Amino acid sequence: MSDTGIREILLVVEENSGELADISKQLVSAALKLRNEWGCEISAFLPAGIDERTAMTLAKLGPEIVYRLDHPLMKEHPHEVTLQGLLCLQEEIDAGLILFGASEWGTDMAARTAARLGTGLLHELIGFDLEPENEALLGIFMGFEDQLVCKAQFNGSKPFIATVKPKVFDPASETDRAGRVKTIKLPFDIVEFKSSITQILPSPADMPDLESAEVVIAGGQGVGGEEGFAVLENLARLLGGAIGCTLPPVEQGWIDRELMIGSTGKTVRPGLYIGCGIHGDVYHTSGMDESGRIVVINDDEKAPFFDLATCGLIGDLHEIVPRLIEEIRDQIGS
Amino acid sequence: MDFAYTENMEMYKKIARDFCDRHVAPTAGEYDKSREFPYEVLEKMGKEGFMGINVPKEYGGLGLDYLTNAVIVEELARASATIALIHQVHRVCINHLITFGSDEQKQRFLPGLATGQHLGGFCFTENQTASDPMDFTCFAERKNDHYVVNGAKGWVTNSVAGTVFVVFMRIAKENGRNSFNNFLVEKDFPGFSVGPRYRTVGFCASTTCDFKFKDMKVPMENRLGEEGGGLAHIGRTIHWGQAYLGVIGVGIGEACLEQAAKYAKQRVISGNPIIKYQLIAQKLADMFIEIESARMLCHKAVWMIENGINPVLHSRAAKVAAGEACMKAAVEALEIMGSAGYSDEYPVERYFRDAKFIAVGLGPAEIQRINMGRAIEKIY
Amino acid sequence: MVSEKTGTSLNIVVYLKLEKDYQAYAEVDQSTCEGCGICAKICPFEVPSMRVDETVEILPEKCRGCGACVPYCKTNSIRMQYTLNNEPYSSTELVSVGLRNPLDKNAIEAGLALRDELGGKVWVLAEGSPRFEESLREALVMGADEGILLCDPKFMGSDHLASSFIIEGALNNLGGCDLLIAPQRTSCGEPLFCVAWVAERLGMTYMPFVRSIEPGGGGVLVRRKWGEKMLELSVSLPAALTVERGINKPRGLSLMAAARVMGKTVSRWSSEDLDFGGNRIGEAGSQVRLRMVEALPKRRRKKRKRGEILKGSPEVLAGTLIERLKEWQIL
Repeated sequence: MSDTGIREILLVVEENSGELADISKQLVSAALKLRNEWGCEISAFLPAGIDERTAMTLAKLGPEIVYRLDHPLMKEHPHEVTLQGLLCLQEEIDAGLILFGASEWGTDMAARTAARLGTGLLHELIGFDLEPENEALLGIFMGFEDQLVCKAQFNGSKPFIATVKPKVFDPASETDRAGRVKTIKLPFDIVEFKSSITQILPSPADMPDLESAEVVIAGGQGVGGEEGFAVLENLARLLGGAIGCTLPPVEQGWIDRELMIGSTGKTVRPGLYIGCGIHGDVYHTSGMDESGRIVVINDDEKAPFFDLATCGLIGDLHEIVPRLIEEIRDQIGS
Repeated sequence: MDFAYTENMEMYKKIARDFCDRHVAPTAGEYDKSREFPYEVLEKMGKEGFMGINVPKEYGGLGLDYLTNAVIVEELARASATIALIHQVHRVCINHLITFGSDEQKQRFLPGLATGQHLGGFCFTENQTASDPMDFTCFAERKNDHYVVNGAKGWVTNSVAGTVFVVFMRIAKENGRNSFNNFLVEKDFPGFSVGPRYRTVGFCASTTCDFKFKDMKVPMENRLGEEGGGLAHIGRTIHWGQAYLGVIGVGIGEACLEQAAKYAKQRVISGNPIIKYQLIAQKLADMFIEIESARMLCHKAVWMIENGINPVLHSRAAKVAAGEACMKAAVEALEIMGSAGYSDEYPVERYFRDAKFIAVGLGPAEIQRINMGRAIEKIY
Repeated sequence: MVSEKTGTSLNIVVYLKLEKDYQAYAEVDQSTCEGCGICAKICPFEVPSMRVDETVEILPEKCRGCGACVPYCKTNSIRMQYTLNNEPYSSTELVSVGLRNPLDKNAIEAGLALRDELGGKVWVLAEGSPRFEESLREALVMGADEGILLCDPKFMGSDHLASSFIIEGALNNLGGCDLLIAPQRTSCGEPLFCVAWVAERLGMTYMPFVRSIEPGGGGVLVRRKWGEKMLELSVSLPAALTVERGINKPRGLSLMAAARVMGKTVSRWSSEDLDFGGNRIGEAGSQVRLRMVEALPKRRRKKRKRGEILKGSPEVLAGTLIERLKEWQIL
């Protein structure tokens, strides 16, 4: 039995194009861990727009109950309707801990919930800790330029609110037990809305921030022009990475100075770095030589960059990269 | 006596640096290679108020003090010595006008110069005779209400884009203390012609030509100061110009030191960045010593002028020191960077070509030393 | 100042969350220090150094104030200090002059752009040590109308919630505002939580992660991402927004603005000047409390070896790389 006095954990789950978001599956995983340690129950809140199927999938991952909210005004005013639904539910079940995924949506809803309830919250947690002697619940997160593991105590009244950092917990997998799915309705009409959606526009997926991207595709003099960088960008999007460059492309106006990697530009430490048409001067390499794996594509076999390569390809990037893109598209498709 | 930059100077330095990093440094190499005059950069500078930093507020400028001006000029020079020189020569014209011009002349010219709508310049040297005014031949003959000018001036900076020039001319055939005048000569005066452009080894984007004046009419309202007062006046302006030319040298030297130090920190040979090796460290230390000394001299010279003290030794010393410091810094930076420095992928070769001018312009170092010797004879 | 075009005038407050991390330093009591050097091994930032007399020295300017070293000292010689001369402390070396957090400038620019179009006034607000005045002055040079520094040792130890009481107090002092704008994230925390609480209590419309702001729709029109779509929302005033990167290109600092601003001073408000509406600030008002920090094992810099270098036709090379990407679990 948990000494925190938390009998129930409420998870706030998000969807992505009709499917459960990855972050939410990770969230369930984190909650299951707590259930094992504390012996509490897990409820999941699923703001609708999603059909029953997704609710069922969620129920199979582990929560005892999945609450679905259906509301006609959800599409136009997603924030306020979700918030109201969550608050009504919380009043009914009185969960001791409400967890959100630290995605854009989750962080937003966590902030609104905490604000509405007038409580504090902890953000981007990577774990929890109990101090039974103090009856204290601690949240664990990274701080001080990601160099230190910090523990902070929830000091206010319940419910405690927290967001869970993405990609820390493995996504929960299907079990053979399935929880119950309950559809809830708001007991009142919401009349006042301070914001409303006026239009929905398409938007390509963001490229991750260069300095924190896990994959970086960089181009140098050998890229030859703006069009060359457009090709590299396609590769980057396929691999979920960011684009970078060296000084000569900036000087020739092919690409923005903000994307320059090197001693007078940005420093990057991705797990995978692919450098195309880059000679490998220290001006550039000092900004990326701590990358995990380095792939160098250059048609000059004497280029010093090959000394840093985990895997080097001696050849014309204008021939290799398009083929790479094609093959990756095939792989992803299959 | 306080060596620290005032809070204001720090803020202006920061703003100037921010502007230079965004708008001056990125295109400096390009303009240098193409030898095209950087009109776009000057236009931006005009909009931001750079062209009027030494123009008094009542004429539309920022009216900043001399030391703040020096700080801004150094930042410009660090990014592009060419831009700094174009800007500096423009300011020489403005400074002479402020110091020696009549209210009417100031009202007529300063507002346009402050916004950069007009670019100023300054003519002193003549090709055949170099630096000694006693040998100059450009002659302004006094008629009733105007002057007729015949002659030529050489090596004029801002010759193509400039619109108004302070020109030093002889008004009497015999030499004497009252034989010279300064005039404001406007480009559109009939009889004014601009010669072909010189190709220089450094400051490549700056336009330098000879001017020819043939029966050029200059109205009486364009004479600066009293009749015959030109020699004393131009002496003061040249001192002022020397101190700030030194500042440009300091800016070039600073850029060299930065490039060399950054490179030395990353270039690894036998397992160590080369900055750890003593000979390299010594070069960098010497660069710093000379550049900082030159900077102190330039600031003192500029301070003396602002406070009405005659900088007869200091402005010359400042230019000589800065000229030597930046040339040495450029050479050392090239050597530290080796082949990389020698190629045009890095700006150090441009600094190297630009640096030599500082020792030569506004009177070469040898002449400065001769003049300083004469001054020391009188003072010590 | 009322806009000639639209006849409107907005009171806009830009809230900057400046460097909170470096607002403490570890102080070593040399008389009890044994010089064992454990703190130097623990410190992830390599700050403690050994003095000639074989005691440890920690330079306040370099210390990040994390406190990781404190529990490891066998003789309890390290104490965290939060104030200097009775004012909140911040490192002179690590907290540099000016607006270091890139989003600060985006937030200020957003406020300035709206003021330029709709008329009004822009205040820039920050909380922390006296050194942050320089950042606020830079905001003035960018074009903001007034700068306010909330400075008082009593504010220290506040979590996001307690900070929101401080900001609320400041806004009440200003008589409220039409628009509160803050950067989405900073190197030491997310203002969006603080802003959410302020918005709730002052009845402002809250919208974080904003990627564009334009006047319209009876208030402002904002855009934000929602999965793979971009939503445009009309937001009624008063509103509290946090802005994302890429929202605008901040204007540079201008010499002319500096010349205009030179005479201006940044106002300083302490806890005496603000009315917190009965709420508590500092540690007493906080609902989360930092209890401990632990350093991660230090990372050793790898010495790189030249890997496999391949030649061949583009197809073969591309194919080999695909295989490697699969091995490395990228694909």
